[in-house]
Amino acid sequence: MTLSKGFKSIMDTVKAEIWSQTTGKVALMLLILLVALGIAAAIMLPPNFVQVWNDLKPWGLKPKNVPPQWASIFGYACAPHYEVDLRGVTYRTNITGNEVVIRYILTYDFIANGYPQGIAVSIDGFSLSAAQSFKVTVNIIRPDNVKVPEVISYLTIPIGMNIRVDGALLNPDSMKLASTLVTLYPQLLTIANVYDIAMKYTIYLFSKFSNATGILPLTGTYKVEVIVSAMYSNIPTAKDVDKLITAIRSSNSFGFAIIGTCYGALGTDYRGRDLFEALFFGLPIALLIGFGTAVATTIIGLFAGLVSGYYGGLIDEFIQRFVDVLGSIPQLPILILLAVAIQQTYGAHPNKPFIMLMAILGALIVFGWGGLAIVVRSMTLSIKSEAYVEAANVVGASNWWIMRKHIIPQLLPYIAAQMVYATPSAILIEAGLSILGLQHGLPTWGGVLADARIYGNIAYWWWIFPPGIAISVTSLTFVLLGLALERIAEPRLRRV
Amino acid sequence: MTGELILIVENLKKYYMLRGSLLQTLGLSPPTYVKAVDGISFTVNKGEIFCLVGESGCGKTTTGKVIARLLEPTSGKILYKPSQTARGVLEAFNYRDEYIDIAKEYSKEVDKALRREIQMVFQDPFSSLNPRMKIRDILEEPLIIHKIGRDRMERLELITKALEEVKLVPAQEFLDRYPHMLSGGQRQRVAIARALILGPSLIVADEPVSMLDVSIRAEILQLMLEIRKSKNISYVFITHDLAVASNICDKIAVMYLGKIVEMGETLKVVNNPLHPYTKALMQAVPEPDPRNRLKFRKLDIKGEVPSAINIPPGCRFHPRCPYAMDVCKREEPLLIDVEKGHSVSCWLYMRK
Repeated sequence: MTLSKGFKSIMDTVKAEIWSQTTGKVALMLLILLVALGIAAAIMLPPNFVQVWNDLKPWGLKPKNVPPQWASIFGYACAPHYEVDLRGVTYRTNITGNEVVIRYILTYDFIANGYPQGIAVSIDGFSLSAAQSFKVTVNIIRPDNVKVPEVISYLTIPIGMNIRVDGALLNPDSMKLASTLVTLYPQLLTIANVYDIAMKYTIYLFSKFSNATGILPLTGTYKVEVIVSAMYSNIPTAKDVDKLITAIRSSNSFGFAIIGTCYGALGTDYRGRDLFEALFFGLPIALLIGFGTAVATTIIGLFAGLVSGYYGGLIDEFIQRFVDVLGSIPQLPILILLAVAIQQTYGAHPNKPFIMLMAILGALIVFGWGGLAIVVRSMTLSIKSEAYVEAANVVGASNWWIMRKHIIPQLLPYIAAQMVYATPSAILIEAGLSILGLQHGLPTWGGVLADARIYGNIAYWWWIFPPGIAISVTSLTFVLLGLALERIAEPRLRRV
Repeated sequence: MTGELILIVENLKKYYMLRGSLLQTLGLSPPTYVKAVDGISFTVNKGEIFCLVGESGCGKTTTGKVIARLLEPTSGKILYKPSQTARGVLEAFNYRDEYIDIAKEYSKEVDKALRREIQMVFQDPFSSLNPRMKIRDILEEPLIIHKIGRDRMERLELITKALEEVKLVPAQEFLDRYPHMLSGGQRQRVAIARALILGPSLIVADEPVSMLDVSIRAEILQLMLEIRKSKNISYVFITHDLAVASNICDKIAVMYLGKIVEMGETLKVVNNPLHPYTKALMQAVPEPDPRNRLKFRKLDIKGEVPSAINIPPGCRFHPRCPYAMDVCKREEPLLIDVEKGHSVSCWLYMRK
C-alpha cells in the first residue's frame, strides 16, 4: 500500500512539475518512446547479435553501401533486393551418370527501376563426404528466352575425405560472363566493348539491345536456375542424393541473391550490414551507458558528498582532495589508454566488446561523480546547520536518520536533475570515443558513425544522419527533461 | 518547588579554536580561542525556571546548547539528576550515582535515555521545523527514534495528546498541515509539543518568544508556565529581554562575555541590581508608563561588547564600566554572595 502511495506521489510530482510545461511534456513523451523502444529492442535482441554483427559471413549477400528502400521517393534508382535461402525452397533431383544433380528454379521479376548491384551465391559451413567433386552453377533464362549459361560456376574437390565450403561468396566471373553475353548477342559489341560489359555485367544481363536505342532495361520474369551437383566415383544411389540434400540443409548458409541497390529501412554499410539493426539494437546499449553512468555517478556522488559535508574533518578533507585530484586528471587520454590496453589483452576474447564497454563505463563512472560530490557537500553543509537538524539532534536522531529524513529529501530534486544531465553526456562521450577510434565492436550509434568516418563517404547520408539524429534526439530528451526539472532544482526559478 | 537540585553546572567552559596562522596550525604557537563560555556555575532546582540573561554573543545560547547536549563542553561538569524512568536505563548500564555528568559521552542507549530527559525549544520557529514535513511527521519523529508507541495509531494518539497540551485544538486540523500553513505562535507551540512529547524533566528554551509578535508572547509564556505546573518541568530559559525574564523566572543569571556577572532570585536581581552591567540592562527596559516617556534615561555604560577572542584582562566589563577602578583592570572578581540568594561578581561589592 505504501509502495503504491509512493508511486502515486511521484506521479503527482511528475504531473505537477514536469507535465505542466511544454518542454516537460515533449521530454516525457520522447523518454517514454525511447524507453519503450529500448525495452522492445532488448527483448528482440538475438543472443549472438554482437558476434553476427562483427562477422563478415552473414552479410555477404546483402548489398553494400546502399540507401534505404524509401530513398526511391527521392529519385534513387532502387533495384529491389532479391534473396533466396536455398535451404528452404523446392528443388528437383536427378542422377545423370555419376552425378547427383539438384536443380532449383527461381523466378525474378525485374522491374526497370535501376539495375541490381550484382549476383551472388553464398555458401558457409557446407560439408559433404565421399563425393569426388562439388559444383554450383547458376544459369539465367531471360524473358526473351535466351539462356545465359554459367553466370556463376564453381567447382571444388575434396581435401582429404571431405568437401568443405566455408565462407564462400560466389560471384560471376565477369570476363567470362561478358564473353558469354557477346557470344549470345553479337550486336552488343557495337554498343560497348567487352571490358565495359565485364565491369557492369548486371546492366547488360538485364537489358535488351538494339543499334538504334542502345541498351534498354528488359523487364519481365527472369528464370534463375541454380544447379548444385556432386560427382561420385560410382553410380550414386538414393542415399547419396539424400546426403547431398542433408549437406545443403545443414549448412550455415546456402543462398542466392540478385543484389539490389536499396535495402531495408535505413540502408546498409560497407559490409552490407543493415544499419537499422545497428540503430535499433544500439538503443538499449546507448540507454544502458547513459542510465548506468548517470545512476552510478549520482549514487557515488551523493554519498561521497553527504559523508564529506555531514561528518567534515579528515574524511571531508580526504574526499575533497580526492575529488580535486580526480578532476585534474584528463579523462580522454586515460580512456584511450584503457581501450588500447584492453585491445591488447582481450583482442581475441569473444567477450571483448562487452569487457571494453564495461571498462569505458567504469572509467566514465570513476571520473563522473566528483562534481556532484562537491555540490552535495556544500548543500549538506548548509542544511546541516538548519535549526530543524539541531532539533532532530536534541531529540536523539542518529546521523543516518538525519541524512535520510532531513538532508536527502532536499537534495533529491537536484539529484534528479543531475542524473538527467549526466545521461546524455555519457552517451555523447561513448559516441565520441567510438568516433575517435576506440572501437569496442558493439553496434552502438557512435560505432556506426566511426565506421562511416573510416569506410564511408559523404554521399552515404543514410549511414551518417540516422545515428547522428538518434544521438541528438536522445540527448535532447534528457536536456529537455533537465530544463523541466530545473525549476525544481533551482529554487530561484520556483513558484512560491 | 521542593528545593531538590535537578541540574548543577560547575565551571563550564566552551572554547572554539580558531583557524590560525601557519605556526598555530603546526602547533608551534598556542592556538587562538573564542571563549564563548568561560567558566560558569549555577544550579537549577526541580520545577524552577532558571533564566540566562544577556546581550547577543554573551554565550547564553552556547550554554543552552551544551546543556541540551548539542555541543560538547571544553571542560566543566554538568551534573543532572535523572528522573525515575531514566534511572532504570542508567542503572542497567551501571550508572548508579544520584547525578550523572551529561557533559561526558555515553553509549547509544544511555545517550538516548538522557536525550529523553532534556529537550530544547529553539528561538526561531520558522527554521526549527522542517518545512517539508507535516506536523504529524515532525511530532512522530522523536517517537519513532525512541521507539515509543507500538504502531502508527498509538503514536497518533500521543501526537494528538501533545498537540492538545499546547492548545492546538482541534488537533486533527493541524496534523496534516505543513509548518508554513501555521502562524509563528502556532509553530512555536508545535516546537514545544515536540519537546514535550518525550516527557522530559528539563527544557532548555532558547529565546522561545523573541521571534514572536508581542501579542503572542504572553500566550506562549503562559503556556510554558502551565506546562511547568502540570508536569513539574524545570526550564533553563534563555532570553535577552529582562522584561520577559522578570515576569516568568524564579532565578536570573546575567551573563556578560561568557561569564555570569550577577545571579539571584528574580525579585532581588530586578529590584536591586548590583552589577553596573545589570543596572544598565535594567535601565534599558522600555518604560510602559506613558507619563515617563519624556523622562531622560541615561545609560551609564559606553562602547560595544569586546570580541570574545580578545577578552579584556581583569574584570571583563571594566572598559565599559563607569565605576572602573585599578583593581578591575588587573584582577578578575569572583562571584560572591551579597545577600541570601543574590550574588554578584564585581569589585565594588568585594570590599564590603
